[in-house]
Amino acid sequence: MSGARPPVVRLRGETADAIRREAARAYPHEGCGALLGPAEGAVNETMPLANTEIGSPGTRFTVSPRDYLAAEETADARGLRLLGFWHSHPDHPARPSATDRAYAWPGLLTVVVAVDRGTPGDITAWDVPQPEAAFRPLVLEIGPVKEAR
Amino acid sequence: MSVRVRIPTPLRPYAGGQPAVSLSGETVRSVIDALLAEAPGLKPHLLADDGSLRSFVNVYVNGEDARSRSGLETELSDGDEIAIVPAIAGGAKDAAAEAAELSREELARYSRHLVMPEVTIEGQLRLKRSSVLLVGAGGLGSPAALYLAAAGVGRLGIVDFDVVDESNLQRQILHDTTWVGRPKLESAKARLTALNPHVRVETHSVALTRDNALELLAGYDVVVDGTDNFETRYLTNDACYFLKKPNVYGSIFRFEGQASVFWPDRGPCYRCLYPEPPPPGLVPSCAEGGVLGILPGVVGGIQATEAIKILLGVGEPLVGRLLLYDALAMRFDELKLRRDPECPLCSPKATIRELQDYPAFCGTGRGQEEEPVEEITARELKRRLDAGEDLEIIDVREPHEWAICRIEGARLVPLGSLAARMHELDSARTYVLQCRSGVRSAKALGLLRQAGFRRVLNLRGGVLAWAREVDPSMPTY
Repeated sequence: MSGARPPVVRLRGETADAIRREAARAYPHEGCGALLGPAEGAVNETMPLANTEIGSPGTRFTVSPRDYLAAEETADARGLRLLGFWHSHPDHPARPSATDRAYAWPGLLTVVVAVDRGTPGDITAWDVPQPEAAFRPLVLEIGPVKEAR
Repeated sequence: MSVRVRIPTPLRPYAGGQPAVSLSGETVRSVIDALLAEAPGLKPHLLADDGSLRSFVNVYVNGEDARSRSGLETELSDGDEIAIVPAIAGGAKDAAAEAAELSREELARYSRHLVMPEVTIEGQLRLKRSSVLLVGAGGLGSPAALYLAAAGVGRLGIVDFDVVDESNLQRQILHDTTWVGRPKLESAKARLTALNPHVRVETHSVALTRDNALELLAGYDVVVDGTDNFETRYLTNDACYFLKKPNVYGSIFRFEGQASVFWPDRGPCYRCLYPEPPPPGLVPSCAEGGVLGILPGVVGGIQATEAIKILLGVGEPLVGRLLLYDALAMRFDELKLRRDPECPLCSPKATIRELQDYPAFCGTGRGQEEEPVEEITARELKRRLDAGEDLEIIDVREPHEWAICRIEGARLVPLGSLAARMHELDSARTYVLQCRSGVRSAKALGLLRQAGFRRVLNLRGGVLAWAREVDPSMPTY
């Protein structure tokens, strides 16, 4: 896994489109959703979730515990894995902030999509290899994802 | 107790990869201890150094946040489902970038907040970007508005259409003597803006009604209920439920106050606590019964505290708990509130899908076009039953209320099923309709009248009146 070359995350094209669409719909608020897929590094589905942030939904997002459980139970029930979460950065670059790092969990992907004046743009993927480590950029390849064996 | 513990995806590698484990323990804490004994690698992810639950972790017991029960000390029953839920959050802005959003003057003004680790610049900015709607600028709304403005909540909305009366000044500290006879909203805006010019005060000079409530409340993050009547209280509760807004409730009478937070999907609502209002006139208002002037200072202060905690996202909100304050005894008590599994608004069996006709529901409507309700008192009913008259009592309450108390011989036909079960009744017979206090049975009477029943009577005051006048041994609720 960990070598000189950063790990690759495959993101199905339709899923990337769905993320961009949801992010544009949520603008000027941050949008968010769960990422599901058949195996580590293979995202082929998103579940859009409500941004329940009170106060600053334009610069913050919060997933309610109930929505987290619903996403995980959906993944478990369908033999998929909950691989992580995406959120949008309205009028900010697709780079995770210190706030994102404070909340990030090792074992869950952080995918960030930029939305510039309502138009979705770059998507980037990150993970935290160890509990106290900084974000590590991942290579995001958008295209077909192989189904689970 | 044998319980099932759900392990979240990011923590599964520390627990042998399993999605769930079966463990036993009496409390959440003892189950977590048992879990950590099996999977010690989980500990730094779940517990802080002092042994408390980390703020990035939530524990749910049967779908309810353990923090809204007794936290780690929550007691468990056999078969309970415990879920460990990681907090998922983030956002574009960094704290350093946010600091620039507070002016020098604001940094100085809020310095006692900024040094608190639970607030800091981040929390102060949350307050600045937040909004609170105060329903009422009276006894409770006054201290709540003053403290929310002083704390730096960015936008304060106030709904009120009253003018300042001399009798308000004993407790409604937003208004002073010079404002008597002028709209409360004007004095509130002047006072709050003078206190903190960084706060935007939005005034809504209307009565809250089913037609404007959703639109008005939708524009705010938190609602503070400082109303003095049941119509607006139920309306505020229902509108907050439909909009999923936290509703910070307070009420006052003489020396006694109550407060709670009704937060949709996180805990009970006002209807779980009080399914229906008392009959009009039974509960005296503050105007009739009086109120200690400083009482709303305490209760409104508690409401402002809860609103600020919700906006900051810190501490334990007053969800699922009814705080009772007795100023004469100087004592605070707390009642546990559970979601009513039969709640007409917020349970899976809910029947209320939109805002209601609140004046009719509370029995305060003008009702000129309605036929007068034929009533019978409890004493009269007892006399006629004892005389052997052929009449049957129909109890239109819910089964869980029936379980608490009932009048001997009464037949249970819950209001919601009355229309479907009307064929069981004989329109030639005399029926006495009865509920808890007489409001629902009056509705039932209307339904039967429409269906052609002529010999129907409403038991005035419901089982409460029966317990008071006929059978004092009957438990009431």
